[in-house]
Amino acid sequence: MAEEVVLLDFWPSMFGVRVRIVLVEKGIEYEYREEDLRNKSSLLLQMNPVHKQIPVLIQNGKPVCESSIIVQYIDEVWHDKAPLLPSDPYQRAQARFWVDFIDKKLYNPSRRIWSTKGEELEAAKKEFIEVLKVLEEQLKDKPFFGGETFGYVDVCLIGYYCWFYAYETFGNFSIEAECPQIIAWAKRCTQKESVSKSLPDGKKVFGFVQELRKKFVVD
Amino acid sequence: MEEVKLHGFWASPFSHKVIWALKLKGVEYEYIEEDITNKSELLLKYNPVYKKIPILVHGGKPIAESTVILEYIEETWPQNPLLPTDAYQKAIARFWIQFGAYEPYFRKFFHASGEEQEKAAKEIFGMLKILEEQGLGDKKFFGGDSINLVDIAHGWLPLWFGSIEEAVGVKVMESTTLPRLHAWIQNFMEVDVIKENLPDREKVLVHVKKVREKFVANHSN
Repeated sequence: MAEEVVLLDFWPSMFGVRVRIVLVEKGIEYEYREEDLRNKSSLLLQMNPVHKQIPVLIQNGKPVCESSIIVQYIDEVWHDKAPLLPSDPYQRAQARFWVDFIDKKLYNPSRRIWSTKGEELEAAKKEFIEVLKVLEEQLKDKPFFGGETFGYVDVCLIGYYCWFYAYETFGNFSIEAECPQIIAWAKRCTQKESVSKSLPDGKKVFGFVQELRKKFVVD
Repeated sequence: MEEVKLHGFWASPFSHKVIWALKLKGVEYEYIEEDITNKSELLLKYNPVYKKIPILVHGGKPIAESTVILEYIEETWPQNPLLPTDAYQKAIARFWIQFGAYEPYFRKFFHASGEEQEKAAKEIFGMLKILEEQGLGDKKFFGGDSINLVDIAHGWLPLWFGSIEEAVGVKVMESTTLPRLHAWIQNFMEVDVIKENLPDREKVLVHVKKVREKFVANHSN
């Protein structure tokens, strides 16, 4: 499929990571374009006029927005390699349910861990761990959320892993102590080329968050 | 043919979205009314994560979350397609299905008052303006000549959001400022499956007012 594929992204984004991983999984050649979110390109504003957010996948000039939608789109178009969603409709529904759960429940408390302190921080940590514990229970003793193989839910969750070091440092807690299976799962994922190539370094993300924090928290 | 059951609540817009999809596809199902103030063992068993309706149970296997249920219905019963078959058009449809969903300003509009509510009303208006201009455009329905999952996703606006507007005494969906949305509402409410599967508006208004009163009572100092 010789088509022009461009990804508008921002390197620490856990949502952008999802798309990067899938593009590698499918062996798709693409152009990565880094966006400065404080100075968004005219292309980004043109391609995602509604939300003005990354990631945006542009295929032959046509944009697809929203990371979970992009992932499903890529999976459907490049369907003959490394399928991410199960073929059974019930299993697909379960996968969609868990990605929806991640999108609804994880981002908000995770953001509050690095941008608040005191009581607010403690509440955020508690909520964050609770969500991870529900996911951990879902994982049980499977190697991946998708079962034997890396799938849609794995793709959509793993992007948070590179932020864990930042959460743990600013939140002063150990995610591994609370959710060891999640950490074991994450490490298993990073052994995959698509993940190791796509996930930014946790310390680098920490540095980025440290800068960002200055706007929100007086240390 | 495996049994299809829907656990719902008479006043819930989310329940109705599932009913509309099932009816549009001609799927036979058994409806089970749940008392959400006194949740059944079955509800808690079928949806331990959220403990909410709607829950679709197909051949004994439960599916929760209305957007997930709707995609499942679309994939399982392909007659009368409610999503485009083209992958790109499907991605666009999914974008508009997700647009404006679960936004905090809806809650704020319903629960708050004064300045906070005014701010929420402005945000809702902004979202609806984008929806009608960029999502709907010149089309009769989001689905084109007939309704699809995008119409269903926003199908809570006429009756339910309308009731909320009445309950709080603030109107956002004006025909003058949101003309396309207004036209869509008229057309949507005329569709047989929708018309025939709506709760009583007065009853919903009473219900919505009660919910609001309860919230205000629990949160006043």
